[in-house]
Amino acid sequence: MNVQTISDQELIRNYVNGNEASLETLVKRHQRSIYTAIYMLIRDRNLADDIFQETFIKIIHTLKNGNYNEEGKFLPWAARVARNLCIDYMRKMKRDVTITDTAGNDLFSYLSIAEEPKEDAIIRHQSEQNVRDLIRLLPEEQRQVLIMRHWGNMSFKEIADATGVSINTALGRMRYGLTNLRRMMDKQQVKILTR
Amino acid sequence: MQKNYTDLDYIRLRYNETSSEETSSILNEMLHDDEFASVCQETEEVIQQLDDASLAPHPTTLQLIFEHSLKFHQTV
Repeated sequence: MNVQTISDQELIRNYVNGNEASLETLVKRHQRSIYTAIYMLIRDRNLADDIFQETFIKIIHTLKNGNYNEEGKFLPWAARVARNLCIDYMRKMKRDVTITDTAGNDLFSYLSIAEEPKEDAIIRHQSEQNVRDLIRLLPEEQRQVLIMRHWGNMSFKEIADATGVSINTALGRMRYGLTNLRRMMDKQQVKILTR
Repeated sequence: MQKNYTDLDYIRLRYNETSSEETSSILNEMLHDDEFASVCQETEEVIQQLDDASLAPHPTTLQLIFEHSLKFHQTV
């Protein structure tokens, strides 16, 4: 069966029933969304890896103990688990994430460069890193909505509920976030890589 | 009646938050309104940048998760 046709719910059911490969599929399907959301909040690759691992350990325990009842909405739930762990970490460290500096140099080391000329790959990765840096410069409420919607896969309704605003406000913040990002990219001449 | 769609509607469409009827109507508007199509294109380009800026965890992290699951599985 095509892996893409198996729903998250089905993978969870198979995993709970002892099929370890289903967890692998589930993790690999959502790893980029969840990991990027964590990284955008924490801004440190090593810590983001730790929190990603902790997130999935919590998920494993919840699933195996039969405490999962999100009815098919795996990604928003997983993103919430990750977000809560980030908040716990930030509280523990008493760190203001909005002003933390970037680490910098090792950020590209995990990314695979497949069949791409070296110079193109460098430009691409610099551009991608610039976008991540620019996201950090967005006003907090815009950045939050952008991360929750794009990587956390939360609906605007769920974001509105989580942040205590109306759906229209959440949607408006997303729009301003994207507009500001575009403006900053233009200003800093970040190359828009069209496909 | 013709509805004036905005980039907010395109954002909802892009994130699968429009009904099938709305989706068709927005796509139709894009075909017939160059200005709206241009706004959508600009929005789409930024959203694509977000996709490109995604990161993946280190392979070792994944390995540790799978090992933990296997151990947990064996102990229950």
